[in-house]
Amino acid sequence: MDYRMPLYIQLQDIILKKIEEKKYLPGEMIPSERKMAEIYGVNRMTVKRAINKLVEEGYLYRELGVGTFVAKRDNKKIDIDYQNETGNSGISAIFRERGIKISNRILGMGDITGSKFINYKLGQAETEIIWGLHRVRFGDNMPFAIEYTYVPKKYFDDIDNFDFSKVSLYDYMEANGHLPTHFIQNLIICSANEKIADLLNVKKGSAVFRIEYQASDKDYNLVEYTKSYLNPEFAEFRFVAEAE
Amino acid sequence: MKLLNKDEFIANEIQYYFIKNDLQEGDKLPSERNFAEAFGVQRATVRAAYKILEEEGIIEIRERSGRYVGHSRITTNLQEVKSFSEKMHEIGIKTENKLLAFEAVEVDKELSKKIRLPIGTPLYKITRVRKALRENSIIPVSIEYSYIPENLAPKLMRYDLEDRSLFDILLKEYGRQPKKDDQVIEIVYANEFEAKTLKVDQMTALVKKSGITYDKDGNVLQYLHTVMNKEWVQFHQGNEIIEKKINEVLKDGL
Repeated sequence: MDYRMPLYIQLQDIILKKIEEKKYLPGEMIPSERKMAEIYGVNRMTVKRAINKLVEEGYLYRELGVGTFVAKRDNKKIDIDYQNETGNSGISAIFRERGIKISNRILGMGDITGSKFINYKLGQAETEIIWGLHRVRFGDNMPFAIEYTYVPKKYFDDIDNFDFSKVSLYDYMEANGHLPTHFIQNLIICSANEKIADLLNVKKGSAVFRIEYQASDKDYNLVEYTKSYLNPEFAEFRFVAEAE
Repeated sequence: MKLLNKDEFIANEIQYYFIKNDLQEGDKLPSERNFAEAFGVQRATVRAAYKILEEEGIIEIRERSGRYVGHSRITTNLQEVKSFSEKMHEIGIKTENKLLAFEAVEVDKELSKKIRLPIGTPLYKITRVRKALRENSIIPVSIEYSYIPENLAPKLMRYDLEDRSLFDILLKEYGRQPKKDDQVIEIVYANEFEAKTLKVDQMTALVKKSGITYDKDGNVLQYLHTVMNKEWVQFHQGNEIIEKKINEVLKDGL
């Protein structure tokens, strides 16, 4: 930073550096405008201007009558790559790559019979037995997703013997020769009902991502239907489209 | 049935009923009693199932009149580089495009990071509102801020930005073909202007889609920042082979 730069820009730089170097931690209150004006020997308006800019850009946020805080959002936000034809890793794989500790709590698992809807979503005849797995997924011990996953039992005879709070479902599916490879995906934003809000630890009615996957293996056998709700605090979706 | 509660199970089956019977937006739904008999459950269960579907925006309740299939959503196809109005036509929602502002601006520091162009680059900033034209109403669905480098489309203002899609103008008038889209979808909360324009309350959750469109030579063709009413949009990635397989099962009369 050049010393001839306007002071408010230099100030912004100082604050950003301190956030980067973890001298100001996410959620922590930074010194008051008055204090900063004193430290750096600048006008209070200059401090205000620098902070306003950083609030606008989302690095800081103000709490009325309390002070200015370092935003948590950027630090906690985790990109979840929108799965594509080539990317065959589930969400957990992507999290692991980024060094976040994923854990799961199983809400329920077992056979489902007689659901025309789920059999339809999996392109299976009505008589096929479906196996379901309902999980809450945690990143660094915070719930970030609820996943309702269904697979046709006929491809996965011994699926009841595995503990999918520890074993990756995709690893298991791959070992059985039916790794989800091609996807239909649908993303909407909906309001969390009581159950979802409770599990995701958000307020009832707050906006959450709802994404549905229908996946086939490389031979186009339909092997997975998943409906998942994600807390937007932890996820955003990125996608790349290319024209022919 | 241990995995799903009864009401969740029935909510699914009601959705299947919509698909199987090809119910469309605005169609009236069977009564609680009808479904209770058909599924062999209590009426209270059907009521709870309907509530779940209402919360997900799949059905809507009209006062003193009953329950109906909810409106469809404007679909953004994630594999295709297409303009918004083309996407609207695909699913039969008619739209109107209103130009709010056309400005000549320069890239500032903040925008520079987003559009990946140096500060000072001359741009056109186009602010438009998209409205869905309904039977009895016009609903503002999104606000779109498009930033187009001036050197790629000089005198862009000459063209009709309300009736023509921006991509159509760029292609036909300037020979610029959009090739690659790199976008992020987030949830944001309406500020005063967005709330007023989209006719929602301030701090209502909105969908933000933002990112860059490149042409085949890798030039930045547009930086787009769109905020949308979440009730009206969905993002989709299709797969023809899978879809065909699913529909075959439906035809076989599950």
